[in-house]
Amino acid sequence: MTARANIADVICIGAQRAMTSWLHSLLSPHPGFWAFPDFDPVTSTRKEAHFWDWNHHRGVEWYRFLLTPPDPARRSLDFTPDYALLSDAQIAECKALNPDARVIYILRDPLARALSALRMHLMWHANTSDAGAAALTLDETFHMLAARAQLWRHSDMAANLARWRAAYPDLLVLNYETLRADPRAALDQVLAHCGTSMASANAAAQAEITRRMERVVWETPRFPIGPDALHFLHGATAAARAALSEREGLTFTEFHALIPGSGT
Amino acid sequence: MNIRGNIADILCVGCQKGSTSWLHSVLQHHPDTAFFDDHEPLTSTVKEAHFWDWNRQRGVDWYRKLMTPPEPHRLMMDFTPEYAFLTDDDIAECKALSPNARVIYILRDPLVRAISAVRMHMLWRYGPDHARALSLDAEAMSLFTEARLELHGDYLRNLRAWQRHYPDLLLLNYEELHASRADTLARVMAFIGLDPARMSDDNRRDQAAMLEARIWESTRFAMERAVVMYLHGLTWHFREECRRDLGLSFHESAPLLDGAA
Repeated sequence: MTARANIADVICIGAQRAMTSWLHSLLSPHPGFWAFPDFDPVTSTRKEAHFWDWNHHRGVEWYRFLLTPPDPARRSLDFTPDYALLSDAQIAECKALNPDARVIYILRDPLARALSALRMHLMWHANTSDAGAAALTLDETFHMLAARAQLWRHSDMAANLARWRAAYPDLLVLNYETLRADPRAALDQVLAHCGTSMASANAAAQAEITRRMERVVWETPRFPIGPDALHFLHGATAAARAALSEREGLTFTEFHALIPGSGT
Repeated sequence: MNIRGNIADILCVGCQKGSTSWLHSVLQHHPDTAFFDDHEPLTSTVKEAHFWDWNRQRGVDWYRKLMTPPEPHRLMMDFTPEYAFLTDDDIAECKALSPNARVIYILRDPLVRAISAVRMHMLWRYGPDHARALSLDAEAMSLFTEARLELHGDYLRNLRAWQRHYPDLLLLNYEELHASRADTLARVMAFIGLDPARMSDDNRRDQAAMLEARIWESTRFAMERAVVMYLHGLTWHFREECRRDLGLSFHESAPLLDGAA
């Protein structure tokens, strides 16, 4: 890779609520990568640059300035899950700015992902992280939260994937469940996709990455969900699961634990 | 209007469980309409020719022959709800075969339509004496697949696909249709170009009886609330698209959704 062929060298486009923060926390201490400085609220921490949705009006040079690492050989990270929703035209601009970027999309069971996203938005809306202090029921608040979470567009992972794959045919697709089951193997797969490895990190970085691997980042409070809301959400995400199964051959099992009687 | 310029003169493309049979029966009482002979199992009764899904391999001449009216000026009806989700190529062929057809699409509350369709499939699978309430299990999922809910329910996609070839398609809301049947029928007849003055007293009496008649509904097999809510979620996107893009809202499902938990 030439020095700064791309603005962003590694782009993780989601899915929201699919351990993207966890993955970012593993790559950022690796000396082969670089996470831009925290400019909250212009960015979301050091992880999400939000160029296409929040900051496009600041211009390409702003984005380039933000993401340029001190050492041009380091791979600059932009892990913005909202990028999953970008249009063809926006993805084309991304490709023009980042022709060699390594793109990663972590896919998760659509029901489990949607429930987690709703809980995150309920936490913000109710301004509490006490799981006993709020609940999801099928009411106007539910639909308001679903709209804020852009729940259905984020659920349509097969369509999002198809748009991105048209620009980045070698995009890496990971199944959240595989990642949960064997995080180390998934990390190695990501590192290889980015053209590096664990061995290329120094001992201190390796120790830090290993320590972080065990952490759960950004867990949402487990607000209870009423049966109507749960079954509604199950029905509303069924087509997304079927599309991923048919088009990508991906199997998701998380929903079984949420829906009694749906098998195992 | 037509001396066999079309194979089908009046096409009703759905929705399934949207009173298409009722509309077919009502229009039969106009002397300038006609329907084909019952060719079960090739056709479904005298109403659904199923040319594109069941009979395409029989060829266009089969369809033309089936659809030849007793007198050439009479307008032939093909009311096959499965046409709703034909591919663009099939609809293009339909347009070529029936260039001046009057196309009608009735939309019904997506949740109520789905429930009604599932009950129809329960009737076919279990017979009329089935007593066990449907629960949200693998068997229910197979019924949903069989009922092709995501095709029959995808109103906006289906509408846009048909409008590409028949821009003046008549879109009806099932709820408005039944709230004012006589007005809707007058609208439909005007859309098709059927002159009410050509109806005999007998025609009028028979048609008026249909306007008063109760609608045939699928057997009301019991369903657990989880099934209803799952189908509500499954059809939510269709409901939202109708509201957003067509300004159509549906209220038939409201009583089912009362007391949300």
